[in-house]
Parts: sequence; structure tokens; C-alpha cells
Amino acid sequence: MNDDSLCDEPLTGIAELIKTRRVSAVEVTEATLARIDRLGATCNCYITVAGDTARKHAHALDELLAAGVHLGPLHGIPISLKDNIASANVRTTVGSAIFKDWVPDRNATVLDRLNAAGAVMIGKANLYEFAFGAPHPLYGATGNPWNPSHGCGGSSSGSASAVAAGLCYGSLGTDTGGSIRIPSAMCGVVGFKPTYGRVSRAGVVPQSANLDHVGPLARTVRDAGVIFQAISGADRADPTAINRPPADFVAQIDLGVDGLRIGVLAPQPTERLQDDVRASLSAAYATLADAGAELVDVTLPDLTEVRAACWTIMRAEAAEYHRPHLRSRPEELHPAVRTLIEGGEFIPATEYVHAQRVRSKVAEDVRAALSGIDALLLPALAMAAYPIGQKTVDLGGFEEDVLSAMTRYTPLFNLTGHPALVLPCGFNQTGMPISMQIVGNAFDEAMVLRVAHAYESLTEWHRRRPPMVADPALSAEPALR
Amino acid sequence: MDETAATPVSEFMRGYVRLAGLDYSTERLRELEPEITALYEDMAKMWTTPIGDAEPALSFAVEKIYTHE
Repeated sequence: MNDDSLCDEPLTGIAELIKTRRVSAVEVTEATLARIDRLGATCNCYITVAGDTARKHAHALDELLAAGVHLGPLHGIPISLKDNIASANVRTTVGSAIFKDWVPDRNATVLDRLNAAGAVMIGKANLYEFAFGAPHPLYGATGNPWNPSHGCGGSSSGSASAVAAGLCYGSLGTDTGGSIRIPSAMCGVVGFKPTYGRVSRAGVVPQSANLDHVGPLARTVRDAGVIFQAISGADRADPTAINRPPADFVAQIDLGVDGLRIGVLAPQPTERLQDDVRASLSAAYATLADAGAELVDVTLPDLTEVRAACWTIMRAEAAEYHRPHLRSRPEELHPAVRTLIEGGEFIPATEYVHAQRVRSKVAEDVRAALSGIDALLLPALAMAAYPIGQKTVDLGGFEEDVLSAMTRYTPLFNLTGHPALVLPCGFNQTGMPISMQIVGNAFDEAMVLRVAHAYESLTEWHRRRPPMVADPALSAEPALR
Repeated sequence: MDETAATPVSEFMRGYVRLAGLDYSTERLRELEPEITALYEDMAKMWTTPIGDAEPALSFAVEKIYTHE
């Protein structure tokens, strides 16, 4: 195994090599930094690469291991953070010109937990400004490793791109209406939004406190589960972090789906899917049925109507948080982000409270729909990744605004808080990934991981690597800015 | 904002920012008017969802809301 090929190994595989001292944390970190040197500019997935601090940290971890101290399952593993997650002494831009020089004096809780498990924070990943709407021109759009002229969606775009291209072994993102799952689906990686309250948001710059979730992105389901295990748990610094006893979320990951009862989202009146997406999902559902799962149709509230409640809460809460920025430096915001946030100032309290009541109702509806089943299958996205700058997409003969099309299948579970994971289940005719979404009952992340791992074990999609990884010549073209 | 071109939306926005003490220029309000119109059309969809006696799902109640514990 040469140094570069280390970057394409699963997190758990590298962790075992480090633990058994067949490779050092320094070697793994150097290989990752070299891959970032080779492909990072093309993907434009990092705002800050923490090379020096990562090297020092990796060296210290190797010394600990030599002394017989193994910190945990992430010992020596380079992990990136979406740049709205505070990192002490490493600037945290939140994707905004307003925060371009902000250097926090303390870590977010999730970074402390990654450190406690032995992770090496390799860099801060690109994102939409304030995790909302569009990338700021100061940092530019993130390129999709499968085709750098295509976007990654958002808002955890840099995290998904970096994981897909092997520029880290996993990343933490945030998900308010789909911001972990959308870019993960577009980049063909695993993205996992846990149950609301399972992971602390302390030290994460909020987009919408009632909808924000923190979760992992990785190249395999098991890798995502290991990162999730490390960051979950109660936290006095976040009153929404629920105090539940520690659980082992990956212990049952190999049990398969034989005998499980799995729901499939019944077609909705407003459903629109690209043909390749529909075909890949049908094949994926059949794969799980062939493996012994009993598939049953499940009806959910209309996803496009529910989205209005999500946007009302999101925009009002973002406007409240960012009011000082709107008053003092509005011209420094991306115009689209400024408009989204300013719109939130015009939402009456009655609409906001009503949205919270709709949220209660759909949470009850989803809980009822999931009762008696182990997990629910549905699309992650209606479409595959599209060229950067494109304003509309064709969904089976219907032209739809890209933001609307992107957020069709994800916001419901931000409203209801249920755990939701996306993973690749095919590729379209232009070679862009297609993904499936798996949703579980509240706090049953272990089942979501089990079903996802069972599907992954039966397929090869997760083993495909973006062309740029194998062909350095493809990395010469810079990403669109 | 041009009084002769006033619409219900523009009148609401102008009055609202005055009452709330928000600093929006007339030009900016005019730019935002289509967005606010679309936002209100979108929010109207929420009122078509029957919600019975559902209580607001504020975050302090998450344990109750999501787990019924």
C-alpha cells in the first residue's frame, strides 16, 4: 500500500492499522495532507487546512501509542469539520466574510469528543454562508469530486467533497433542512443526521436552533457509525442534548435485514423524480427484499407542504440570530443569503408558532407511520448533482428550481427529529451518484446503521472512487469560483 | 417606496419596519417585495394542514415530543 492509497481506505481499516502500529498517525496525516495538496484546490473543499497543528497532534498520538495508550476508535484518524463548528486557535469562518478572521478560544463539544477519541482535526471544510442558501464568493463553490464542474448542494458541501475525494476519513457536518444528507447524496458518500438531541450543538454557530443537527459524513456506514458513537451523548452546554445512557450504535450493525419490516414511501401526488433516480431506488429496495426484509408501503404527510413549516422556522430563527449582522454589515452577505435571512424578519410570530404546531402534528404523523416497522426507505434527492450555476433541474419532464428540488425529501426529518441516513445506491448516465435515504424511529440510530450497512454489504457502489482520485491529470482543472 | 405603486405587501412591509424600528431603505424594501410575497404564499400552505390540538414543538419539550417519555 503506497502512501496515497492509504487515503482511500475506510476509516475503520486505517484505525486498525494505526492501532497495531503497521502505519503511524503521522504517516496517515502526511498522506492526507499530500492528497489535499494534489486535489484540494480542484475540489475547493477546505477553507482552512490545519497542516501544522495536525502534524503535531499526530506525532503526539504516535508517542502516546508507543507508550501503550490508545485513546479510542479514532486514534490518529484525520477528520475535518464543517467551518461553522468552533475550533480553538483555528479560524472558523462560518463561510462568511463577516467571520473571516474569527479564531474561537474554545472548541465545540463535538470537537472535544473527537479529540478524546483520538481524532486529528485536519481542516475546516467549505460550506454555504451561515449554512444557508449559497457559498460566499470569498470562498467559492465546492467542486464535486465526481465532476468538479458540478456542485455538491449544501450546506455541508466541503465536508462531502473532502470525504468523497479522500481528503479526510470522515467529517462533521450540520443539517437543518438536509445539509448533511444533500451534499452526501450528491457526492456519493454516507451522511447521517442523528435524532434531534442525540448530539450536542454547543459551539456550533446556529442556523436554526430548533432544527439544527450535527452528524458525521464518511465513506462507509460503519465509519459513520464509529464517528457518531464518538460525538453523541448528553452535554450540559446544550440544553437540547438529551441525557440518555451511552449505547453501542454499531454492535448490531452486521445482523442484516432478514426478518425486518421495512417501509417504502408510497408515491405522493407531488412526487417528481429523475428517471435514473427512480430506477436506482427500485433496484435498491429489491436488493433489501431479496435479503429477507419484508417491504410495506408507508404514507407520509405531503413533503412539499410540510417544507413550508420547516422554512418558516428556519428563516425566522436565522433572522433572529443574525439581526446584528443585518443591521451592521448587510452588504458583506451573499445577496441570496441576505435575502433569505431578511425575509425571516417579516415572519409574524403567529406564523412561527403555527409552524411549531405543524411540526408537532407531522412528528406525530411520522411516529405513527413508523410504528410497527424497523425503518423507512425513500429517496435522498429527486435528482443527481447538477452543473455549478444551474438554476433549474429537469425532474422527469418538470422544470423545478434547484433549491426546491434539492430540499424535497430531507426537511421533514429536521422537523420531526427522526434519524435519517443517506448512502449511494447507483450512478446516473453521466456518472454522478444517486442515493437512498433510510429513516428510523427516534433514538434507534442503531437500526438505521444496521439496515444501511446490510444494503452496503450487498452492493459495490461505495467502493467506486471518483475519477480524479485515480487520474492525477484530472486534478489540473481548478474548481469554478 | 413609490406611494402610487403601493401594494398590500409593500404597505405592510413599510409599516412593519417603521413600527419594529428596522432599518430598511425604500429601495431594499422594493427589492424584497417579490421574496416576501412568495414567503407569505408559502406560509399559507401551513394553514391547510389539519393539526388538531397540537401544541407548539419548542425545543425545551423535545424529550416529550419525540419519545413520549
